[in-house]
Amino acid sequence: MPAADERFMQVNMGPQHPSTHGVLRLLVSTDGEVLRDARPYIGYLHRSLEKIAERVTYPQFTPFTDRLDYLASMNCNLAYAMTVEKLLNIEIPRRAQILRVIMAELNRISSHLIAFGSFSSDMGAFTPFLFGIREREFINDLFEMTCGSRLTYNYIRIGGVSQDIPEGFIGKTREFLDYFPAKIKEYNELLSYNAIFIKRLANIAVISTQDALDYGVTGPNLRASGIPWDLRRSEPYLIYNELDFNIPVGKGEVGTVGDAWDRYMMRIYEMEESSRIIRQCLDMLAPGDYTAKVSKVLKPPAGEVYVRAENPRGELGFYLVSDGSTKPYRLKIRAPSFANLSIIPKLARGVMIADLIAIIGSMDIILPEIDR
Amino acid sequence: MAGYFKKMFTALNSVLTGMGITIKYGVNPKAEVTQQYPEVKREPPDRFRGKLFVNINICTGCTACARICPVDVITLKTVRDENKKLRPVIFDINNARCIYCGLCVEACPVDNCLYFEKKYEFSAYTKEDLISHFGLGEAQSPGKKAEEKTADVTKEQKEAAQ
Repeated sequence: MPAADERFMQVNMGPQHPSTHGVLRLLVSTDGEVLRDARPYIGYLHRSLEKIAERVTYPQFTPFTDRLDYLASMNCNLAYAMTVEKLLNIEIPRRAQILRVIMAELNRISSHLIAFGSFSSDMGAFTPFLFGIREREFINDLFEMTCGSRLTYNYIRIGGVSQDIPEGFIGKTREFLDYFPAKIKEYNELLSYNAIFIKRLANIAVISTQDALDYGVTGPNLRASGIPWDLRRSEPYLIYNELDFNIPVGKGEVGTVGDAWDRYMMRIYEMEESSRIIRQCLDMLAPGDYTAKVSKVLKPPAGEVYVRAENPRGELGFYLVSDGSTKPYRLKIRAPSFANLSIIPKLARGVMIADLIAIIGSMDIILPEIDR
Repeated sequence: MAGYFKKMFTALNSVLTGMGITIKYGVNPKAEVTQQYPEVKREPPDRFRGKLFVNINICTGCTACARICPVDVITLKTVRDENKKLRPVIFDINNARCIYCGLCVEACPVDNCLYFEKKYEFSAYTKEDLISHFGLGEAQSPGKKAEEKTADVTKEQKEAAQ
């Protein structure tokens, strides 16, 4: 820690601040109402997941990936499963691939709903948070009837998915998709185009295209800066290349391209796109196997792979080194929130304290993934 | 000046639209989504992952569940009984440590042996109370079989006769 400058006051924001989305501690030095500096201190949720990976077998690590980004467990499961599958060179049945896409996109919606809700409550509007939670409940119920769990699903496994979807799942998902667009419209009326909300976020914490690339920002935050980079399109995995969907890009509708409002709005647009993807997938769903034949004891050949997937918060990457035994030799997790967090000190310089909350909220970081 | 009023109008309009939605939900009794939890309980779905239960009488003691568990929840000790079958004398499940991932249930080769109950309310005062014991306990020392006993007696008689 650098020697404190006596002209500025050093204040800890967090680790127990309600707006830090977990246990993020920001050491801010303030000059009155203006921030001079904000340094994130992380590690309060460190569980050494990467080390645990070296001590458990390949299938045993899947439940731990649930605990990376707990709001998007399906996506984390998916990225890990794809990594091991690439190492093992397994072909996944088509039905399993479609099921995986459905689950990943449903989870993307539920994650963005939390992002929308918690951001609005950070900005002082509590009602939209409850609205977001209400719609998320539908998705939680869908997941619960599929895999039995509401948060840590452990559903997408190496080779496919753990079990086939239950009876009535397709009907209920369609019901949700029919119900959801009206709610998105409501969110927009309630919050997105609210004059106070726009005033609060337009032109705040602008991430320029160059900065976004320099800091390795990914996900909706990168796209808000005007770069149409989405791994589902740029580096398609599963069946994404057969699907018709748009990549929303920040246009600076109310202010500058890449401001906090753009970042927020990306998530609303992505929820619409995800709904479209799920609809197409439900139409494509044909009978078949839900999992490939995978032996119970996995012994991948020695080698190394890096696989990344588009998570709700950005690119989640797994770098896996195998020495030919039943346990990974090394597993490195590239967490999107970690890279997204790294730009906060730059954005926070010279803004008002209240805007720092807007910056953290609009980046939609999640701490378990950063500390892992 | 006109711009000023226009801005004021849009701001007021957007705020009122938002308020309209809130009021709409406020007066509509159908919009209520709250569940009165302790009084009204929802029925969990069939695949619900609740408390683990072992039907110990059909357990073959294969230890597949204990081996797959990523967090070592299951303590399993087996001994061979008189029929050379594995007998699970200790089968403890530490619910405090369980992460409800379901790997053990999938690993179990016997139908309806290890499964999740639909129970989700099982908090306890101590950590010890959270451990469920399913084990059959130590078996009584297997006595000799009737034929062996008869053989023994004949042997003794023969020895006595000599």
